[in-house]
Amino acid sequence: MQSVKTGAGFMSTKMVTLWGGLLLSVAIRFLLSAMGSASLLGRRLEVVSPVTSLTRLAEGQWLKQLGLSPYAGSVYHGSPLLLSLLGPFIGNRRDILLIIESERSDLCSFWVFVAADLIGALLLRSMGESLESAHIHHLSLLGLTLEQIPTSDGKAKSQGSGRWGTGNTAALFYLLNPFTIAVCIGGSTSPIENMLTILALYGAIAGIVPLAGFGWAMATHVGMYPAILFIPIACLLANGPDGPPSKLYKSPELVQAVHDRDGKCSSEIGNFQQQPAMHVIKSSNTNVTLSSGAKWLVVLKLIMWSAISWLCILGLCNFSLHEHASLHDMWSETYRFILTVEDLSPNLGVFWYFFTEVFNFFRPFFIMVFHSNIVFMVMPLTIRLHHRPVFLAFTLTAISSMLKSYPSVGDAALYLGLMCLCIHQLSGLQYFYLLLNGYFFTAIIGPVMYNLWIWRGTGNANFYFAMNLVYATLQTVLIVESSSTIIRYDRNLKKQSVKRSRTST
Amino acid sequence: MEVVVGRSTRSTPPGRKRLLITLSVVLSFLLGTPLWWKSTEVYRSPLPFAAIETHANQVASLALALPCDLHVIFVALPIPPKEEDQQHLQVVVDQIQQQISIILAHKKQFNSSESCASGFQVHVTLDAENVCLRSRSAAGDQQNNKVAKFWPCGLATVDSDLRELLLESSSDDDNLLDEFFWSFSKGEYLATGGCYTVVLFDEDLLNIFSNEKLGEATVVEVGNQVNPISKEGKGKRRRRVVGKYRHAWMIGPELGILSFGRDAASDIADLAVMYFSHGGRLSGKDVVVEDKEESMPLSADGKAILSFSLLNAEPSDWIFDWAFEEVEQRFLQPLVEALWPFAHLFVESQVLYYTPKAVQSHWDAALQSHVVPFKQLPFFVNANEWHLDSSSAAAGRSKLLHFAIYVPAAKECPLHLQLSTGRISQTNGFTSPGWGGIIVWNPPGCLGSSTDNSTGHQLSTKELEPLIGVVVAQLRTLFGLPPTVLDDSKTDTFGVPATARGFADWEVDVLLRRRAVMDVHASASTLASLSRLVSSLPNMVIMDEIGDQVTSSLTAAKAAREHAISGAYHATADAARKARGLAEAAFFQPSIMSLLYFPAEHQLAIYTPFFVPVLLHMLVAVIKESSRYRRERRSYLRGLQNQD
Repeated sequence: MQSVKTGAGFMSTKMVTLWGGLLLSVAIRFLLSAMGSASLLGRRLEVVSPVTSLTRLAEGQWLKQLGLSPYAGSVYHGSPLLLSLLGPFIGNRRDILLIIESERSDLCSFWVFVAADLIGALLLRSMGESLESAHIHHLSLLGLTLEQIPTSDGKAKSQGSGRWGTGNTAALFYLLNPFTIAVCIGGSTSPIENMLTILALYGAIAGIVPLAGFGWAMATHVGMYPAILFIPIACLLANGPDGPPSKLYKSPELVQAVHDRDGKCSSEIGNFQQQPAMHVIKSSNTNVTLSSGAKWLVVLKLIMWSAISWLCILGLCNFSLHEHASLHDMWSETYRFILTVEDLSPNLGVFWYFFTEVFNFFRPFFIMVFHSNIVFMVMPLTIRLHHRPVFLAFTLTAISSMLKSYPSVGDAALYLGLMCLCIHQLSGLQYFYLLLNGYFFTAIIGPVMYNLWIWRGTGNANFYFAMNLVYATLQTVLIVESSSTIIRYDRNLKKQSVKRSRTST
Repeated sequence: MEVVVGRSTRSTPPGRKRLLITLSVVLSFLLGTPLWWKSTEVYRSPLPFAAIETHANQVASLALALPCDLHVIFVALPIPPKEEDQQHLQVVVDQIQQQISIILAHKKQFNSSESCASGFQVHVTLDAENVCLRSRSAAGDQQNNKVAKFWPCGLATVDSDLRELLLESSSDDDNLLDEFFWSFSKGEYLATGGCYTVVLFDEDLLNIFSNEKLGEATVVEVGNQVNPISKEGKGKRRRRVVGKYRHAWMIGPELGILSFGRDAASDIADLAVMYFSHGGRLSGKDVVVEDKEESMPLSADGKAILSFSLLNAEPSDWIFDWAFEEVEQRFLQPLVEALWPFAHLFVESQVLYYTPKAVQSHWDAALQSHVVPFKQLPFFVNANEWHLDSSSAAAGRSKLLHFAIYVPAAKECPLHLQLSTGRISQTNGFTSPGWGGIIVWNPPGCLGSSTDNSTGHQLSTKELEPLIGVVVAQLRTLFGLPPTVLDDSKTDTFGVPATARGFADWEVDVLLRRRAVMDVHASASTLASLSRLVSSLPNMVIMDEIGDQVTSSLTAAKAAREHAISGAYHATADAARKARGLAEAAFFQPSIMSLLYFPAEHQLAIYTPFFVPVLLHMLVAVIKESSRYRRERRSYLRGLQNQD
């Protein structure tokens, strides 16, 4: 009884911290927005890309109100649905600098983005909770306790943060991440794009196939790059949330040990696990043991629901564009614009510099090479990490945000949030200090170099592109290090469970 | 812990995951290979190299040349219709034809580009009141496939006007006579260029005419009877007049069919070669005035923009404006139409303010004006402050000819240009080859009288007319013709100024011949250098467009050649222009310009930075993983054997 009581008390402080954090994040956003930082951030190319810019969206809305195609003049490159959704809020914002005049509409759009961020954070939180319970469940299946969670460096972990909950960490980290805040108030559609991506992953974790399909279709429609997340979503639906490699359960000695233990001390598990968590374990337990036929059925259902969502989206787009433009215009102004890298103005990515220099003759080829960099990593990563779909989703998001044609820090906000979901597994991440400082470094020096190049005229494009390269290197290091940490973690898990089974027998 | 330490056995078959991962990366590269092949394929449209070479050789060996006909017309009174007389006359006509032909053949031809193909084809016609005798070769011309053009006889029978015109000698009678000839013989005979007529009036004939006239119309005025023709006829001089169409006529002694001598024949040949063949540019005997034959201020596709600028040097003194549309309609449109066969001219205008000239003038008390000396003229144009370039000209590759009318400031108002001889230029203008012309226009009454500051004077058409006259003269100079029609009293040669159009038909013919020949030459050389360039750069992409342009250029050049043989002037010029324009367009195609400086070594620089690190890693991984897999599998098999 005593323990339950303290648990409830802990729960309440947890909730207070969580809601406090949420309120704090909203307050920060509101304060910054009221101080007019939107005009500062709205022109930063780190925050706003040609695809996500709200200024461009306002232009599109204006054209649409005039009865023209929103894509006329090749300014707006987003989805027509976003235009219909955000247009009414943005419509009379003529110029991002005339913030005083359009404060009211600005406030409206501000709340839309804050809501998107909050929804995203809450979804991340519930994703984190189910991931954590799945994690505990898998550990218990392997006969390991939470206290004995092996980290990649082999040491047992202190229990404090485990109790706090991955979901809460991820949610608060996502909300308080400066990148997320900047994107939210800086006049970019990235918060919505990120929210849709998280929604798709949430649907997959919760096992709601229609939601997953819808989220994936919407995210793909808005941002194109989430298309590659179909694989982690399908894995999530078919195999359940992240767990150790299935090979571990097939290992004969281990299975034997687990069987023995399950028979012997099922009551013991109940003692050290909390009751609600136990419930989730049960449900995810059924999920884990889906037969292969059922797995394919789920994937088929996902495909079907995605197709239905796509049809609805296209129908809505068509309706939204009605006479002004055709769907073909939409394709060529959104996907084709992203794929052919028509806008060579500087951004955070590595495309623009290269494609201003490359011979025209080689342009199609190198566009293909650059994009295939994302695609060709999907298969090996899937083979290697298919048992950890959320981590796979993080890796793929990070890779695409590094190699996409018009990246912004909003993409970093998304993958950092997803990364937080795997905080248990990644606790042994190396070079964490270096990476953290690297992010700070690029966040400060990048704009300085841009200023030197564009405004002062004392630097040149190489100054700024060097910072882009540093940023890309950082992300590469992050991806490589976290992947190897996960692999190391799995290996350790195997080692520990084998050791455990040996000692128990 | 499947792998037991040492080179011992393993109990489970080795996992294929790592191998699979490696191979999946390899697979994506393999999938990319055909895309690579396709996207960097060097597409080369097949160019007709052989045809280009033959074209170049043809042009080098035998330049395109347009034929010319010279019709020599003897006007005579009725001759006795006796058979033997007529036969005799026919023989005489043939002899004269032979004589003129031989003289023409011996005359040296200059500037082969603008002269006629194989000299002149001479036709002699005796146009008597009752008979029309043509030289034989002219009659036998029909076997050539060109349409034989004959002088429509009967000039002498149309007695009413001609006699009046011949006898009257007012100042513009040449012009009226020219118009008369033109209206008499127009039609098919003079449809296109290359057909020139010299009409000969013997002095005796004129005397007969005048006697007749005196006879019937009692007394006209005795003083008028003694006209300059007969006066100069006493000194055995022939008056030669070159018309503004394709006619010339000679009046003087020894021009009758029977009194025709070698002297007269050489006179005719002189006239033909000097004017009809060379545009009057041979000033003295066999001396070419203009030696730069390539300088025709036109772009490759035969276009030029005449840009007229009215420069108000100091608007605080006075501001002048013009109604340029009217000027263009009245004065420039006929000129543009006259030159249209070989040059497509376009006209635009602007008025500029605050455009000081770049040189200082000085006051010359003797001339009572501010003077810019001849030596300073090259620095007159103020490139910094005269923003003459207009937007439409900047767009294309067309040639721009500036005509600037400079209105000086009040403080240097009667501004005059001084010739190298020290005298003041009459036209008060000068040309700059390839650039255009400048005229200084002094506002009337600027000397002495106080400047009235009423702004916005509109230059009237009357004020502009002399200026436009100078502009036309400058344009003629730029095209390599004498500024005005030659009036040479020494050789008694006079020209009829083409008042409306500025260029006489035969001058247009000369320029057209020159331009067509230049065009064909240029097309051949451009295509030849294109084919050299293309064959020297094997990894240069040749778009289909270039191939099409080359082919059609060759076709046009061939068409020009064919038209030239049949003597179709306008069609030849059109085809030649097209040939040159297409050849230039193919040569300056933007898609090959970018690859002009792209050697094969660059391929290395393009591929290595990305592909060498990636492929190297991939290869290492493949080798490592496959060897590892084989090793593990061997140890597993060994384990199986051991178990057995």
